[in-house]
Amino acid sequence: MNLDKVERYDWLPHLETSIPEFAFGDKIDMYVMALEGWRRGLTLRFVGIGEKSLVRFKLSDGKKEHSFSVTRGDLVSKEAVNICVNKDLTKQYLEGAEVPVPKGYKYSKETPLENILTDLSELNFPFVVKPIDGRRGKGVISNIQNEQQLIDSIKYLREDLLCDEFIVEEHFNGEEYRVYIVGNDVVGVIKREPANIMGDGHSTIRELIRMKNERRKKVPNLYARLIKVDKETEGILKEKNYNLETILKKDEKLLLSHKANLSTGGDSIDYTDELPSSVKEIAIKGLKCVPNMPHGGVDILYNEETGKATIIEINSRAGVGGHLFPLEGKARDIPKAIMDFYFPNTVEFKRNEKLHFDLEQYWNLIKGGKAKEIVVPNVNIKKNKTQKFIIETESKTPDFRKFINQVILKRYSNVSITIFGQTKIEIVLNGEQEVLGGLKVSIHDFFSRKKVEYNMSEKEYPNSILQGVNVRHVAKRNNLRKQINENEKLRKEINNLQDLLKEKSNEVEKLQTSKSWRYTKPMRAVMGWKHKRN
Amino acid sequence: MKDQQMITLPHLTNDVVRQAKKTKLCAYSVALEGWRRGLNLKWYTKDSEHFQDMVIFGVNPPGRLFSLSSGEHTHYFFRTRGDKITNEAVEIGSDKDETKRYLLNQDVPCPIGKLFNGEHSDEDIVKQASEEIQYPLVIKPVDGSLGNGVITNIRNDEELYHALRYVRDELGYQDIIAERYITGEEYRVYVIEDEVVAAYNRVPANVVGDGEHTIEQLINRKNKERRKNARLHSCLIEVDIEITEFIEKAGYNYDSIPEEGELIYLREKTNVSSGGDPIDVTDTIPTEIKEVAVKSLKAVPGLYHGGVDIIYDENTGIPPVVIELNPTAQIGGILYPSEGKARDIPKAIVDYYFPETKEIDTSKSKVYFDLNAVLEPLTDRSAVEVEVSDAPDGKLYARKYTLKGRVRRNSFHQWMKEQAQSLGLHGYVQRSLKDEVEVVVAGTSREKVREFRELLNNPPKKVKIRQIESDRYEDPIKIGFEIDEPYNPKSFKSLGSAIYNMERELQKSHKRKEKLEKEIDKIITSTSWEKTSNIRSITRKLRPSK
Repeated sequence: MNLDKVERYDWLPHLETSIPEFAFGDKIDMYVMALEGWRRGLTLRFVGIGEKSLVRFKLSDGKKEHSFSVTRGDLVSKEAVNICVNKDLTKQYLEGAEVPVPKGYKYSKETPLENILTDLSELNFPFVVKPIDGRRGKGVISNIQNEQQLIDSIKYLREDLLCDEFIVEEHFNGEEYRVYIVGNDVVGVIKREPANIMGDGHSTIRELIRMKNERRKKVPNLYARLIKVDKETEGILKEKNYNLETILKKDEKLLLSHKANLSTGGDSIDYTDELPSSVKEIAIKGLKCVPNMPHGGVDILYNEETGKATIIEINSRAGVGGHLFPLEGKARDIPKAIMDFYFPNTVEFKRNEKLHFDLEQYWNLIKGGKAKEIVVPNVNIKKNKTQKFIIETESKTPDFRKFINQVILKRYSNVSITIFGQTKIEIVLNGEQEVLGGLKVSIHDFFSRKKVEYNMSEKEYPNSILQGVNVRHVAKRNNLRKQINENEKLRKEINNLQDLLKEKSNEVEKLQTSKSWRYTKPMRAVMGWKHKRN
Repeated sequence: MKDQQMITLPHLTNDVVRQAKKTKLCAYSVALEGWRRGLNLKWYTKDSEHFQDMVIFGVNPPGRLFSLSSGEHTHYFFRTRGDKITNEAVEIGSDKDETKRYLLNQDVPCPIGKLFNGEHSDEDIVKQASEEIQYPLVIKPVDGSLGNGVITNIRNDEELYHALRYVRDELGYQDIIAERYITGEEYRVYVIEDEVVAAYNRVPANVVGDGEHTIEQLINRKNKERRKNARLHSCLIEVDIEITEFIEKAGYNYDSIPEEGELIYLREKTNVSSGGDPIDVTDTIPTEIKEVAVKSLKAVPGLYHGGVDIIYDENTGIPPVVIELNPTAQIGGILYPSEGKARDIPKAIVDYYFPETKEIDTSKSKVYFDLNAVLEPLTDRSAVEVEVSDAPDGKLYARKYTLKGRVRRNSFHQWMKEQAQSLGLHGYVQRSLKDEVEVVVAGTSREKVREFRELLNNPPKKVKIRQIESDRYEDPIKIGFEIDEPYNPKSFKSLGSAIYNMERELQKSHKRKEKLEKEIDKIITSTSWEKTSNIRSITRKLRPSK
């Protein structure tokens, strides 16, 4: 398995160096969406909603503003959101528009089991059972082969998950695709495969899972969605007479789950060019039948052999990570398509791909209950460049801090500074040509005024840098770490010594009351006297 | 100095304003007052569009520009000055010559004087000033602030030359005003429309002798006192050439030992920022002063509130004289005077801008926000605007729990944070380097605080709480919930002091260790201990086994 290949696998170049680790995981969708709008020069603000301070963002071009909840903008109506959340309602709308959906029924808390079983006798096994408002495949039980399994599944849903309403439908034999639609266009398709591993002839299943998870950790949207060995996995292994220590044959592909959700360890493979247009048409039709739903993700099952397809779900807040960072295939820029749709006048804008922003800072302030709205400075979309300046001084200079306070903080934004002790400082600055030239003059002025001799070299910096002023102090932090460790060590030593002291004092006390001590008194007196003379 | 606690406003204790100094304190105190009343508070950088048309200066680092909004209307503020005050008024106020023109126009008495610009040589000035204004004189830069370059009590040509060289050549203020020097007490009066809200008397930097200590020692001692005052701690008496010359004039030097009770002034100028003492006189000033103050503010169109500097000597019968107007007056001095009673100017300002919130009493409020955290994105330019989370509505109940045991796991602290936040509680977890953690929770609902306490009975796995101490928590509450590290790895200052503290701790530990080792050594190597080891082992054997 070539990890490097995976890491670099056809990511969109403008995202390669612009995703801070903090944005990995469940924040990735919000981050890439906000980044897309902001890099076009739109005004970006983050807001906290409600007591739990949910983080949302708004983008504005000065004339109109749109607010977003992750990937869903405010052009998607509340009504549409409610329809998508309720799987039965979704189905009703789809059926109404004659879009194919799996055959099945909705049941509530009160429906007696017998009624369900009678109802379903006209349908064919296998079945799928899913909660009506489940998200990310939660509570979905698929591949139900017989009545007993059905009864167990319903019991599990009702008693363990406390799920009041659920759907039972025929299992559609096909593979799962997520089709992202903006306006009338399919802008990305990913095929979702259930969690799986590929044998190499010498690694055990346990090792293969670990390796696959290592790979997933490097993909922003899969970072926290690792393959977990659960009951379902164990069942699958048992069926095949495998266990975790089984060595899988070379090129044997083993599915570890029945669910094709990324959140349960599934893979995303780009299929935008491969999915037949007839299937895409079904997806578009499906999205269109939901009122006021101009964009969203449609989950569709498609059987290549029979050519049949059926829609199983519509998502108003569909993640875009699977399209941006597919494990195989080409990345598709869904955030761009969505922003083009919301701000059509910015379609032609060239985005500033040299800057990204510090989501962590905003997130912590809002989530920490300290701020409820933060406006990010607009980016410059004029011609700009990022340059790295390395300054080394002949002798130690304590002036770097002053330099930052008096020069950098007063005049420059979009600059990352790394201070290496007292003799070296690196400044990475983004800006127009005049700004970069200005910094050189500032550096010269400052250090010659301080009479500090220095050498400076510069080169173009290829990566995206954090917007704002960011200072890193390399040497000092190491120092602190060292100090802490040393302190910790000493504290332990002291504790040990104290224990020892206690022990010895106890012994001494015991001894003093003992007979031997009293007997040796004269001896000690003599020795003590001797001692003093020494 | 009287006990600082008696003077300070109960809702503006040192804890509450710890993060705000000097002019940031002015802005913060007004912002805090509005925010506590339930107004929306936003902070800005100077790049914000809202301040493009407002006269502002000295706005970096951020913490001077903010807005308060009731939803219906919004007002923008630069420090203590709100947007009702017109730019023209600000410009008049910052030009001392203009100020005087407007004042004289309305028959407000001010000292006679004359403006000199770069075209006048020092000789011209000395000639004209000595003839037309007459000694003693004051000279001051036209556009100076904070008392910079103000030289008072100039008595003859020689002193005037000396002063001019200092102000014009050394400080670089070419345009100056020469004025008749008027003796008397100096008052700073804060006026909002027709009302005098506060007045304080500024006494120049001074020390009082005790017959034992030198002037230098007395200055150090006074500075120690000033450090305890939220406003004065950033305005210590700094020994400079001005002080040196001033005390020399009076026949002293730094090594002189003044007699007990002897009052020694160190400067002529009374600015708090150069070491002066603010003394509250709101209740005692003569009505003449109040009248002049209100009148002078009225003389400048568009100046609805601000500070008025007045000199008055009750004994001479000469009416009070206005020497300066401050549209952006500093109020730290009257919020934290050295004597008298603190006056709540922030309250008066917010009352003026948002009269509909007048009834909301914040004098018992113990809630504040994390100013530094909110300003951080503005300071490092990663935001142009930050809105502070809403102030809790109602009285806060707070408890402090000290947890002992296996409680050092980061995940446990995060868990507590999540629990507190989902209960809508504010507070903090204070980590320590020991097996102990302190958690404070506060909320408007007593029930929720209790719920949090109950959650502690079932902490996450791997956490073993051996003991929980529960205490009342009376200190002010910073909104939000945070986990306090013993140090902040992102801040220079915090890192620096953390390293310093650690080094000291390390030294202490080393000493402690040495001492312990010595003690143990003493026991073990004491010769008798060795010598008796045989006997001890024998007696041990002889001892009946238990």
